[in-house]
Amino acid sequence: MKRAEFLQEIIDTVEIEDVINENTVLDDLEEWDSLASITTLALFKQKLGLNVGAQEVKKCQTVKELLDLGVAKYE
Amino acid sequence: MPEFCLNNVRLAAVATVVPQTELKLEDDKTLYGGNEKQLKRVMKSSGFDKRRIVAEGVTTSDLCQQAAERLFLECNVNKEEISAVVFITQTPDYPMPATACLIAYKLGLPYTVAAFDINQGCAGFVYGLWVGGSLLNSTKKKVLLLIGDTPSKYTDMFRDGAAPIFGDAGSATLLEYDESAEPIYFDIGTDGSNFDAIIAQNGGFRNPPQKDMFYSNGTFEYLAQMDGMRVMEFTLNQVPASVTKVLKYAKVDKSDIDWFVLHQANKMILTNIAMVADLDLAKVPMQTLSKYGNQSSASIPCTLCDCLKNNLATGVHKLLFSGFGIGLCWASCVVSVTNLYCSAVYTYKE
Repeated sequence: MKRAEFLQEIIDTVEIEDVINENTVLDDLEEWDSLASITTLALFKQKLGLNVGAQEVKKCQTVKELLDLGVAKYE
Repeated sequence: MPEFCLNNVRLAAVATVVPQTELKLEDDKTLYGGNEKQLKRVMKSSGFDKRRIVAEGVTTSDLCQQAAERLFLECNVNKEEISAVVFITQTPDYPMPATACLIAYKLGLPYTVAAFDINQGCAGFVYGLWVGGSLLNSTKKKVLLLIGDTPSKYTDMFRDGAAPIFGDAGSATLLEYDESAEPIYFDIGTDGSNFDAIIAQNGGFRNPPQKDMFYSNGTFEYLAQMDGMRVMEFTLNQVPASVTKVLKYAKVDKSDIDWFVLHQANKMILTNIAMVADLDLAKVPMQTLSKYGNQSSASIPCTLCDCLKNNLATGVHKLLFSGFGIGLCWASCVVSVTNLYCSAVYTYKE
């Protein structure tokens, strides 16, 4: 899966309505809450086969930081 | 713990009782600060809709007692043949004595019965099969498992911010010594480093009750908390691995399993476990959680009664059970059942 495709998975699953890019600050998104974090954690495992830690996701401030967690697995 | 198996254990009958009072998530306007959009998102991804809670004064043991009475009646059980009663819960009647002793008396079990409690949550049903099955191999009679919880008693678990996902339920399960029974294969494990991922901080002897531990309405502040992120991380890493491990140990292909009856944590967790472990979603019942909420240790027996009652009543079926959660613990097993009796899901009668 490509980086852009994984981003689209997050947007679709978390149901983010705003237009976002990699510089978007997660806390600025209305939909970014604990449920969104949990959903994203599951997506890393499901779509990329990656065991990402809860703390790693919690630390992310921007969309870029979040996507960087999957950098080893993108096509 | 490595994998292990138990011989001579027949899972004979299961009965479940839920309280009468039903709450609907969408009716609670106080959740998430009244943000309906957020509530709808939670409902959609978690699959939660309704849950049952006990009336004041009703405890887990009351629900389990009624489940046992149903089971005795419907399966014509001779109480004299019961050698042990094990009550598995995190909501006992008293800090001491073990509630099992009290229930044994109320059920009219003989004085020759052994009775004790086990403090286990979501993995409790599989723990029950393991402990009860082990007892059977020494007593060679019947063992009664009473498994359930009333999480609604941990009132602050339901405060805003912590999802109001839990439902109350009690169950009764009868195990019989049977030398013709297929072995039950287990995989059990514990990650105690995450003991505080789901915890009631107050009320035990580490933080005993103090005057300042009461809310203004007089209810006790258990400080019951769940770190959803850590629980999800644990679930994704441990549960699919446990399912795969126990299948391999039992030398059973997943296509040979008729149903994967998993603890009804929530829809997102069940779906993810199924996808990561590559399970056929049609074999993973998950209707129970939307009707009754996350019922802790009673969710597997309730799913048997609610979804599979008719399927399991006759013939031989291969089932995989997996319970996981507080501890953090997981316990999976592969079991063959023959003519397994499952009651209807009964409503508790005062």
